[in-house]
Parts: sequence; structure tokens; C-alpha cells
Amino acid sequence: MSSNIIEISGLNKTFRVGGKHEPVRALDDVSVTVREGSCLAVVGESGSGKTTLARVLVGLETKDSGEVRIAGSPVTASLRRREQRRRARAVQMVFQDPNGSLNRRLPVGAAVDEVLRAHFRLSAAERRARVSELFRSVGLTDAHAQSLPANLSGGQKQRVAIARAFAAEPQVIVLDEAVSALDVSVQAQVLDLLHELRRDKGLSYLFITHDLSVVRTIADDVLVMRHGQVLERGSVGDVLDRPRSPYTKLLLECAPKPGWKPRRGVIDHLNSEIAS
Amino acid sequence: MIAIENLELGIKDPDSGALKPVLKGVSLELGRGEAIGLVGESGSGKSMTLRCILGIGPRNAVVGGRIMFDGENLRSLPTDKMRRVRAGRIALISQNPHAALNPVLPIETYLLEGMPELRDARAARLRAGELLEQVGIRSVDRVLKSFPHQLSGGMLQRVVIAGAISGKPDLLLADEPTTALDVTTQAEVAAILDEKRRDLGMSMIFVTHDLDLAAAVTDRLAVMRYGEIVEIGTPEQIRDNPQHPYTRMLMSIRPTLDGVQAVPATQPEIGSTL
Repeated sequence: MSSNIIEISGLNKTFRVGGKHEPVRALDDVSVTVREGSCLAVVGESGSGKTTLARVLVGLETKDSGEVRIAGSPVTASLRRREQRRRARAVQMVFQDPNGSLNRRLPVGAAVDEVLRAHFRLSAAERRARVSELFRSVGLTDAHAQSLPANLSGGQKQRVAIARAFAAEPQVIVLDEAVSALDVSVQAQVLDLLHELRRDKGLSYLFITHDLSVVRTIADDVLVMRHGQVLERGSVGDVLDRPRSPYTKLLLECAPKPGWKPRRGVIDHLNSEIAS
Repeated sequence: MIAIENLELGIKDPDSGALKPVLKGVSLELGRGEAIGLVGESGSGKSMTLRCILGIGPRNAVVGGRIMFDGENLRSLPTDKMRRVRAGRIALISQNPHAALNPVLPIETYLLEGMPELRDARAARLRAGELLEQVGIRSVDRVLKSFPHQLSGGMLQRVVIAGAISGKPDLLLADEPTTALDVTTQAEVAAILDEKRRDLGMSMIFVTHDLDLAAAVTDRLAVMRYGEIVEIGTPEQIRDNPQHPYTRMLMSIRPTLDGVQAVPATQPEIGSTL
């Protein structure tokens, strides 16, 4: 039996939205485990809590209650630098928009170098060699490393973000809609790359997406979330081919596919089924 | 209905004066009541084609070719006449409904603006409510009084569709109208758009990156790449028997629910087009 790299149990998180509004329950008693070396896809629509889950996992958000463990050690949103650094080594995150995570005045190679300087004691020459190696591993060259973000395409920038996540040699990478903004041809390449890197380095992914169709390509297991709750979890084959939750069925039915026609009222019908 | 003839568009670099080609001779014919899907990846020129039809191309653009709309070339129409075409005969639904709606005015004002012929305030309100019902909105009174920020993206897109069909235009231009929506909302909004278009006999150009979505709501698909249409056919032809290598590549690499995904035969060179 392989051990779990991520163990989340009974996680709760509410956001106060101000005014007379009820606080939003972003995470409602969420329990998740990710087996070491596997990829878990977290699927849901807007407001499902999938991004909040990721942010709590990497310590960007505090939790109200519950337990989060990565490789056995608890995660807290601590302000202590040592704690932050230790966690940054263990878990890295790739966001949907690479522009938001790259300094537009810093060549992208230097952005990756920053990570090496923060976590490893390497000489300048060793770091240069490592940056070069990381860029090669994501299909980019030294010339790309010297470019500013503005001179790279969206797909190239997302590759840089992935190279930087790998630079820390983490055990887990959280990918939050990391391929959602990419064109299909670029998306296919980035998915391939992620698959290859996982196989070679034996690390684990938490892959957050709204797009069910990419799940089969990348994930081993799927978790379906809605309104902060986990509705269904299982292997990719089970959830996509034999969904049990009416909501999962609705998601599958609404996804465009060959021969598909959109129908009105599907949401109402299944909403009432879910409610009952 | 509309015939685009050899449409070319280049964007002039303000410093060097060099012309960057964006559309390289796009030709497309659309019959009355027909819907065509323009599909392609970013930079293929699909949105730019729509902007040319409306005459709202970017600054520094150099445009060539003709856009024949009911026998008139839209490109040589005087401003006031073109404005009338935009007001009554061609409607645009864009990806972001906030772009169409004034944030400080309620939905009611937006809808009434589009029906100046209804002088009687009560009749106009009634018509606005009717339109909202047609796009599947039940709490009509609440929505009419709401401001854009109080409504969800799916709700706003329905409001924009209601506004677009209120003048019964001949041609609907839809630019990724459901891309920003959740998948369940996308299905609902796409169904509404499809149904209303058929009911009112409108022609439609539907721009999207999603081949399967385009196939579901249109009669023909035009696949675009680098400012050119590489292939036109019915959704079935494009799906079962794609002719152009690029179409074949698009069909084979798009992720699918059933997981039948072939390795692309011709992967674009990393670092060149990527």
C-alpha cells in the first residue's frame, strides 16, 4: 500500500463577505487524500471551493478548523519564515495566469534562479547550470531564460512557471487551472510535459480544473466539489464512466462533445434532483 | 445575407510603418437564417473578422476587401448609415457581458435603450420583461431593477442576449459568448441562443475555440489559422473527414471525455509558434 502524501480531514473555511450577507462556507467538512506519486483532479464550477482548497493546502489561506498534512507534517498558515520556507520546499503551486506570478522586469531565468538561491546552497555556476537544465526539461532554451515575460507566449510563460515550481524539488505540485487559458495545441503539449515530469520525478499533483475533458489525460483519481462540499470521489474511470452523483452526471452531460446538443432546463431538472 | 470577399487586414507598426498581416484574404458566405461557426486558436483572426463586419477594427489597421450585406458594401457605407446597421440589423454578443452593460445603470435602462420606438413607458417595460422571460429569466422584476454587479455572469449573458434579440436583427455576431461561463451555465445559455436564433430566423456567426460547441449550434464550421480559413464544411464533415492537416491536428489533440486522444502527428515546433 502506498502512503498518502496529502491528508486533509474535516477542513472548514468560511469567508465573511460583509454587510448583511451570510458568511460564505467555502469549504464544508472537506476530506481529501492524495496517494504518493499520483495525480488527483479536483473538479468543480465557480464557487465550488476548489481554489480555496488549494490555497489552504499551500498555506496562502488560514483554515477555520480541520487538519492538513503534507508528507505527515501539519500545514499552518504560519508567518514564521522557517516554516514558510520548509513548506515551499514541500509544495509548489502553478496558477492559471503566468503573468500574475512572473515579475515583468525580471528575465524569466532569474525568476527561476531566485528559487534555487532560496532553497539550495549552490555556487553561481552550479545555479546557472541548473537553470539551464530546468529550462531544457520544459522544452525551452537558454535564450528563453534571458527573455522578459513580455517576449514569451502564454504557453512559454506557463512552461517557465512549471520549471520554477520544479526548481524547488517539491513533493507536491498544486496546479490551479494551469492549462485552462492555453490553446488546445499548447495545452496538449503542457499536459504531456506535466505527465512526463511526474513520471520521471515521482511526485504528486493536485490538479484543479473546471474542465472535465482534460481529467482523463492527466489524473488517476477525481474529486467532484460543489458549494464547498465533496460530492463524489473515485478513480477517473469510475467517476467519468459510472458517475454516482447527479451533479457529476449533470457536468458530464453539459460538456460539449461530438453529436451533443445543448438543451434548456437541464440545470433545473438536475438541480431539483440534487436537492431532493 | 452577408458575403465577406477577400477580407484583408494588417496592423501598421506606428514606429517602423511595417504592416503585420492579421487577416489574409478571408472569404465567407452566409445565407439568411444560417449559422456558421468560426473556430480556431488565439491569433487566428476569428474575432478580428467580426470586428471588421461591424467596422470597429483596431486603430492603425489597414483593411482591404468587401463585406457585402444585403447588396451593400459595409466597408464603404457612410458613418451614419453604418451606425444604423449596427443599431438595428447586426447585434454583437461578446465574451464579457460587462463590456456591453453600463455598470451604473440598471438592467431595465439597458433594455429600454434598445427600443426607442416604444414611447409608452409601460409598454416598453412589458416588452423588456417579455424579453427576459424568453431567455429563461424567471424573477423578471428583480432582474430589471438590478445593476450588472448584482447578477452572475450567466444571468448577465442572458440579459445581453435579450438585448441583442430585442431589435430582431438579421445577423447575430457571437464572440465566445459562453467561454467565461461554467459548463452547466454554458449549456443553458448556448441552448437559449440556439433556440432564439432559430425562432427569429436570424443568421449567426459564432466564434469559439471549442469545436464541439460550435458544431452543436451551427450549420457549417470554418476553421481559421493565422488569418486564413483553411477549411469549411458541415460539422459532420469536419469531424468525420477533415481535409486540412491543421483541422486534423485540432481534432486529434483536443481533450475528450472518453479519453480517445491520439498523439498529434504534427506538433507545432516548441519556441516558434508556441
